[in-house]
Parts: sequence; structure tokens; C-alpha cells
Amino acid sequence: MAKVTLTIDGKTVQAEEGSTVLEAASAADIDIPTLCYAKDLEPYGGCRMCIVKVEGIRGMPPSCTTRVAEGMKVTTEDDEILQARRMVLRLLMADHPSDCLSCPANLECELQALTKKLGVREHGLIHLDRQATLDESHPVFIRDMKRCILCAKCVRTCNEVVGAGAIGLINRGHRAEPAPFLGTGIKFSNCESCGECVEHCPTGALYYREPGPEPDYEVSTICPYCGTGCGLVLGVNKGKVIRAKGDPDNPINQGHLCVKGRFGSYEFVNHPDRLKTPLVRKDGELVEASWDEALDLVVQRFKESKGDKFAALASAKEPNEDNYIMQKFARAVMKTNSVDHCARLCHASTVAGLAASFGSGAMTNSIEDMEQAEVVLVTGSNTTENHPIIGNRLRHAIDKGTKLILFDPRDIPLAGKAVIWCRQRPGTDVAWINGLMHVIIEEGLADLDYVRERCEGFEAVEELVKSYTPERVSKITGVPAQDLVEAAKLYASGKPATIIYSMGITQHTTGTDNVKSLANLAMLCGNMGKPGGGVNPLRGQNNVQGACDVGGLPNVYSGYQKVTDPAARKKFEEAWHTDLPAEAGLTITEILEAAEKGEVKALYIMGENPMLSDPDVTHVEKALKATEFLVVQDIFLTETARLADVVLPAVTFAERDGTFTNTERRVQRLHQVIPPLSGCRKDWEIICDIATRMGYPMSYESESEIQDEIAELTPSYGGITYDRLDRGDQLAWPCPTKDHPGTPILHTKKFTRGKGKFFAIEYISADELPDKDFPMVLTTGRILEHFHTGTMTRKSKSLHALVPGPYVEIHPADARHYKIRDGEKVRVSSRRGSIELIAKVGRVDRGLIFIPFHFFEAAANVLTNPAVDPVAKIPEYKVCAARLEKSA
Amino acid sequence: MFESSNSKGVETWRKKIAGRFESKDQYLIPALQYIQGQEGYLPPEAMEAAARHLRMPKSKVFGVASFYAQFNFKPQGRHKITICRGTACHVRGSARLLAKVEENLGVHAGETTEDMSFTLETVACFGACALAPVAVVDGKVSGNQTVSKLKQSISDARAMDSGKPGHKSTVRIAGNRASKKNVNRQTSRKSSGRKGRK
Repeated sequence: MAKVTLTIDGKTVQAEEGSTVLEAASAADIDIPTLCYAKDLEPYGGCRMCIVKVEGIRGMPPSCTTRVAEGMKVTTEDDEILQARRMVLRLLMADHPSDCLSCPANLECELQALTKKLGVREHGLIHLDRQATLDESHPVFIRDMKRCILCAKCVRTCNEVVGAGAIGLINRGHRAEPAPFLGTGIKFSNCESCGECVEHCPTGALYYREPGPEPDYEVSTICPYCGTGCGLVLGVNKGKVIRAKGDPDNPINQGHLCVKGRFGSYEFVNHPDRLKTPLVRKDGELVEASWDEALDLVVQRFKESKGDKFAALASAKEPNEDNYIMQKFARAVMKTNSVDHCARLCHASTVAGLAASFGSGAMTNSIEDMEQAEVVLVTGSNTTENHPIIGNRLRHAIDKGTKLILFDPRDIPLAGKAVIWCRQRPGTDVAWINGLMHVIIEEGLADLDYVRERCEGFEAVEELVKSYTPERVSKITGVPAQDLVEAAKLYASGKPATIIYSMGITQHTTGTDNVKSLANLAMLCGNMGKPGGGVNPLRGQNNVQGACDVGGLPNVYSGYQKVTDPAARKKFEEAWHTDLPAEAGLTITEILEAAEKGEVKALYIMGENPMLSDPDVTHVEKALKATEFLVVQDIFLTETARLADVVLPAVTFAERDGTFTNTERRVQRLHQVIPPLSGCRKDWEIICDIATRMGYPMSYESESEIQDEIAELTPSYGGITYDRLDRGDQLAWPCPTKDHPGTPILHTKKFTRGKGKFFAIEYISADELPDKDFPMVLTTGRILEHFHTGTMTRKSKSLHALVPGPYVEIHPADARHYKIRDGEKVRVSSRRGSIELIAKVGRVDRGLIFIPFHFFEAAANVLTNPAVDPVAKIPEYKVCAARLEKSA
Repeated sequence: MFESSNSKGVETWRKKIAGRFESKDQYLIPALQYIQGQEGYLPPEAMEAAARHLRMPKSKVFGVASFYAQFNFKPQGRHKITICRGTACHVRGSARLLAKVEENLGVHAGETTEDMSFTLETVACFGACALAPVAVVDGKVSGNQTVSKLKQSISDARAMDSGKPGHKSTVRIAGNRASKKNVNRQTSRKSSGRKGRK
């Protein structure tokens, strides 16, 4: 960027072309007062506090909206300017309540600070209090618009940063105020409860119901929820974590947070229900035991169950180090490869599909990169609810001109931003993707040079998609043919265009097919290996990428080195000084089947809750009860832990160091915020203790030492060390050496597997289709306010207040047909079970119902179909036949 | 947070709006005027539909709509009476005129009678001060108003209705929609220069 030179208060200042006078002054340590300015918002020029004088310009322009120019001469303060600023303050004070002493923003209020600084004690005008709304509808914060100074920071944040647009400025003149649609209470609007508006409010107009004490100290770490990997700054008061703020230095969230990050990320840490002592089952009851007693029992029983009689579940919520230790324990000590985790249930088809197409089963581009895309195709991802910060950045990109194509049967928040929104029937994804390719090839929009040069297997696809005419696809998917044609043309027009998908694509019996089809589409338009392009699966959990990377899977060691490859096996045998099993182990679904049959006798579950997360939980319960010896290591007594023979209390993310690998393959550092609660131990320490007691000594000084071992054995993690991460290096794998900068974009010069491979794939219908007895299609998923099995989010007072319990979304026409009113109790049944919950009318398509799976009291997975994808073994959570009726 | 709305109504409106306006920001006000031309006011689902079509937050649609005096958020009566409360009209007795009409109709300014036959409004200045006091009945401006002249207009309007209450009477469609357009045009012209956001 070119620099311009200007003079501010006689000082010569260099500033970037296009920057504002306010920014230039602030860079030169010249203070200009503001009320409506915020670094992360577009210049607004609303409050008139930052007015300055510029030679040659009439009047006093606001410095926040005035761009710098060569040779500009600026005066930021003189008597006239001060007088004008004081007048602005007096006018604001004239309709502002003078209740500072009882105001929640007292001493933190920017208006108050400025009146003091500029010496305005009284406004000297006729006082006229604002007749404005007091909105107490929201459980977490209060909107007292009497204290509003109309800086519009809340409105601008909600629109520019978050992209929710829940509030706007309504009315005119003295009655103007920020308010939601129709001026209702904020709780009843499309507010996403992220709290960004409260954080931005300069006065006491927006404030938290329970502001909490000031922290004694703060530590930055990584959020434990979704795969976005936002930086958190946790505040600690008297040894307890009491608040979370966004980490402004983290490049992903840049200081912003979603509702779960802000309110739900710490409340569970010091929750009274935390497990603080081991529990051992005696006479059918779980009773407290000492660590020695519990571990001795575990060791004795594990010794009897070596080999195929043992299986372990690693965890997508735990750091890389613990997952690495868990799989090492299973393989080196227990001599089995039967170690798996819930990645099987979310993105196993991604790992299988993208590895087959490209050679690497992960997000190909970075989150930041997405903003460079001209066109974004989102499918099977309710991004703004399940990866809110990525969703916000996506909405920001759309506002700046990126065009959105959405394929989703539900009316998710992104639908309002889409240029084309297609509601496909669940389970028909291969058909519409083939349909798009049909149109792109027919219209001559394919990038055939790219296909010829970089890919193979195209001819078969070209032949196959000939029969997928828009008319035929429309019949299968329910999407109008015209929309399919337009979507295809729009996707092909994007140079580059990116694809973002998630579990709506993967959780099908055709999950791997769906993923490969998206890979076909991206290669067809030459979108791979380019900034702003790619195929980007958003991973559901904070460390699901990492747990896979470090070998928490039955067929691979860390770095996806195959257990069946003798060279790889030899390498690990030498490093671990023991012999290792040569056969691939069982997957989660297979482990539970084997447990039910009595083949797996001992099961070690770390930080997972299959009693809520796995399909057909009635069956899961049978399997876990049939397991002779079940050890569960967790932070709370989960539904799964209640069935255990031994329960071991672990620590939360806030009590430890470690690394999480986020959805874009970026390895990020966790920092210990508080010491482990008394009685709790780190997962890797517990596993090492068990291993050592079993005669295989495992001991590490710290997490850093474990990471060094991972780096040594894992080529893609080879250059990642705690030293580098602590220095602030942003490392996305592959990062093979200590001087490697990481790889934000994959497949740039050639695909990992050499040539990108096209797969010709026919559409196959879902495993279970609606029929006379079960006429509805049930689909399941997550919601904004809760996470996974609710073990953490349901312990949060704020999140619980926002969404206290289970519900089912029903289309208005279906609601009329079944005579069900919004808020009424209904019964939903499938071939596997039945649950009762509250009806919410809206959002889904006709014939479809949606149930979030977070709630044990009406577990969606009582109903879901355990049929799995033949390749990836991922269950079909997204489609099953169900019946809806009014509760008796 | 989850909201449910009248999705069928939204979809019907969206199609109507999409058939008339491109999906560009600048068509917001024309779209709102079109909706009001059809309904006499802005139903929530129609505003939501406009937001959908124009791909902007519905809070912004409401923000814009609530800024202008010309837009109504409640169903309007079949007949509209607007009494000028500008300085000249005030001096010539418009306060009394308003009080008497309020008494006659049984509603306050800004309200609609229960039988949906009359909406009573005031305007800050009509710009026809030489004719003060001014009142507008169903788009017809008449000057030098008196209580009895206005009462006559009210009973004329009542007589015109076939005595059927409810929104969709023939009178409204025949006489009122065209005249409503007049009122809209006039009030919008007046309000643009007069009022600004703080």
C-alpha cells in the first residue's frame, strides 16, 4: 500500500493510503475522542465527537470518515473544536438519564468518561428523558434503550461482524432506537445471543444480567466446542473461571465469540457436578474409591482382556496428546487396533471420500481463504449455528459480494442470504450434484484443461451424468429444474468457487459417495488447489481433526500411516519398543456390536458419550450393559458413565496444556488456566499410569514431550513444536520440518495422491424411506445453543435458559394435518423406539421433521437408523422414517 | 434463537414481490409502497417476504419502514380522515376540529374504529395554509373546514358503505385504493423535507 504524508497537530505523520485521519492520529499517539468508532466496524460518522479541522475543508469533518490525503494539515483540538465537542456531549446528556450511580456501566461508561475529560458537568438544556424500550426478554442481557446514545454500534456489530442483522434502528428523531423486527423483545427475534452488541455498547444501554466479578488474572486458550478453534481469554477470580472473552490475537475469531464460546465455555469448569473422585461399581452401585483401588481393578481386568477382547474409544474433545497416548496404549499395551472415536459418526465419509479423490481427507483451504471466493456452495451445513464464527465470516463475505448457493432442506439462517436456495429431499445429494455436473458439461462451462492436466477418470463421469438431466434430477430431489440449472451456472461462474459442507452430506449410507461427488464437482470447474476454492468439510468438534491425525482410528497410526503397511508397523514397533498387531481393528459401530455379542469384554471410553451420540441408543445401552468391564473416563457422570464399572475423573480443557487441531488443520495451543481440581487427573497421566502398572512404562514430563514424540513419528506434524506455537507461528499441517511454514491450502501444484480422481457415482436412495406406517422423514442435528450430548452446554445456566429442553421442528402444513399447535407435546416414533417432546412449527420442509440430538430426556438417537455407509461405516443420522402424533 | 412465522404467507408475498422488483436494495421502498397499496398497511409476513427477496435483514426493512410516516403497521379503516395540525390550522381551530371528530368516531388520532370503517390521523402541516383549517377525507383535500362539514363527510362515507363491516367491502376496492395512492404521494412528499433522523 502506498503511504501518504500529512501533518497532524504540527507533527509529520505517515499513513497508509485509504486509511482515515482518526487511524493516522491514533497510530501517531494523538488521542481523538470517539463514541461510535470501533476498530472492527466500518466508519460511521454518527456521534460527531471525533470532529477535527482540516486546512482547506470547510467546517469540522469527522476524522473517522475523512480519508488521509497527501499534504493534509489536521488540527485535532482547539477551543472551537472543544466547544463543539462539548455541545455534542450536552445534547446527548439532555435526553440521557442522570442515574449514573445506579447504572451498571458506572465507571466503565464512555459517555461518562468523556464528560469528565472534557469538563462538562451539566448540559444546561431542558431535560427530556428518552421514552424508550426497556427490553428484559432475554435471559442473559438487558436492553435499556433509555441509556442509548444512538451510536448504532450494536446494530452495526450485529450486521457487519455477526451478520445476523437481528436489530436495526427504528423510528425517527427523538423516538429512534435500536430494536428487532417489529420492535419485539430481543428474545423473540433472530438474535443469536452472542453478546457482541453488549461488548460493543459504550454506555449502560446493554448489560449482562449477572456481570460477575473482575478477574484476578486472564489466560488465553482455545474454545472446547466446535471445530472452528476460536481463541478464548478466560478470566479467573479466586481460583474459579468466571468469564470468557474473545482473543483478539487469534486470527480465526479476531476477538469475537458465539453464544457457546462466550457463555458456555467456562460455566461447566467449576460446576458442582464435576467428578472429583474415582467411582467403582460395588453390588450394582457406583461408589467412591481411591485412585489406587480403581486403577488396580482396571489393571487386573485389562490384563485379562488383551488383544481382541479389548477396545478403546478415544475422543474428539480431547487434545492431540491424550488421543495419541490412548491409541498407543491400545496398540502397544493391549495389542489391539480396535481404537476409534466419534469422528466415525461425523466425518468418516469425508476422510474416506476425500482421501480417495485427492489423497488427503481434510479441509483443503483455510477459513480466511473462504472470503476470497466469488461463489460459495454450502450444503448440509447449518454454518451459522454449528460453526458460528465461520458462519459470521461467511455472511461478511456475502455482504462484500460473494454469492451463496445453498442446498439445504431446512430454512436455516443462511437461506436468507442465498442467491439460490434449493431444498433437496434428504438423501438425494448424489443426484443433484450429478445434475449440476450435467448442466456444467452441457453448457460448456467445465474447466477441461484443468481436468485433463490434473485429474483422471473423467470420461466415466462424463458418460454417467448424461442421464442426470435437470428434469430427472428434479423428480428425484424435489428441486425445480430451473433452480438446478441456475445453481450449476452460478457455481461454474465463480472463479474461484468453494464448497463448504458438513454432516448433511456425510451422515448418510451414501456419505462417501456424497463426498466424492462434491470432489468431482470441484475438480470439474478447476477449483482445487487455489485460494478461494476447494472442498471444505467443517469438522464438528474442537479436535476431531486432531484425534484422527494422531491415530485415534482402527486402521491407521498417527499421520494416517496404515497399520497393515509392514514398513509403518515396523517404524512404530521400533519407536515403542514392542510388537504391534497387524490387522486393522474395529470401528465404533462394530465395537458395540462385538460388545453385545460378548466378543469385546473390556471397553475403555475416554471423553465420549455413545449413550446419546450413537444411532439407535436402545441398542447401544444393551451393548454397554453386556460389556463385562466398562471403564469411562470423563468430567461428569454422563449417561454412558452411569453404566460403567469404573469411572475415572478427568480434567477439563481449562486445567491443562495441550494442542487442538481445528477444522482447517491448524494446530493451536491450549494453556492451563487453573490447576486441576482436587481429585482429577489429566487423561494422558491416567492412561500412562495404567500402562506402567501393566508393565509397559509410559511416562512424560509434559504435553510438550508427547507432542515431540508425535512430531518424530508423524511426517505431517514433523515441524510442530510447543516452542513454535508459543512464538505465535500459525501452523496448518502438513508441516514436515521445523522451518516449514505450514500448508494452509492443499493440492496447489498437484494432488496429494498425484492426480485428482473422478468417481462415476449413481444415485442410491436412503436406507429407510417413509412408508404408510412411518410417513415422515426424520433428520437430526445440532442447534446454536447446545453442543453434542449436552454434557457441557447443559451445565451452563445461560445456555440452559436459552434452550432448556428438546423439541421437534414441524412444517406448518404438517402441523395442521396432525392438528398440532406450536408448543404442544407430541410423540415421534420410528421402527426403533419413540420419544415425547415439544413441537415447534416452522423451518423444515413439508414431510420432514428435525430433532436436535443434545437432550437425554428425548434422545433423537432412540429413533435414528444404525444402517451404515459400506466404506466409511458412518451411520445414517440424517434420514430415517418416522411417525408423528399428538401426545395422549 | 428459533422463531416461527407464517411461512405460507411469507412465500405468497415473496412471489408477488419477486414478480415486480429486482433483488436490489434500492427497491425496498417501492416494494413497501406496493405492499401498502395492496393491503393498506404492512403485514409482518409481507415485510419478511421483502427482506427475503432483497436478501437484507428484516430488522432493516422494519427500520426503514418505521422511519417514514407514510407506512402503517396496522390494518387501516376503509376511510381515512387526516386533520392538519400545522400552525395556521391550529390558529384557525383545528384542535377543536380534531377533538370533535375524535368524539364522533370514538377513537384517538392514529387509531382505527373497531368496525374498521375510519382511520383518523393528523399531519404536522399540509402546506395549504391559506385554506386553514384543512382536512383530507379519502384523499380529497378540503379547506375552511368546520365541525359540521366534517361530520357531514363522515356520514356521507358511512352512507357510501353498504353497511357491511370488514376489510374487503366493495367500497374500499372501488373508491379507496385509488384515493389512498393520492394520500401516500402527498404525505411522502411533505414528510421528506420535514423530518430527519436525529
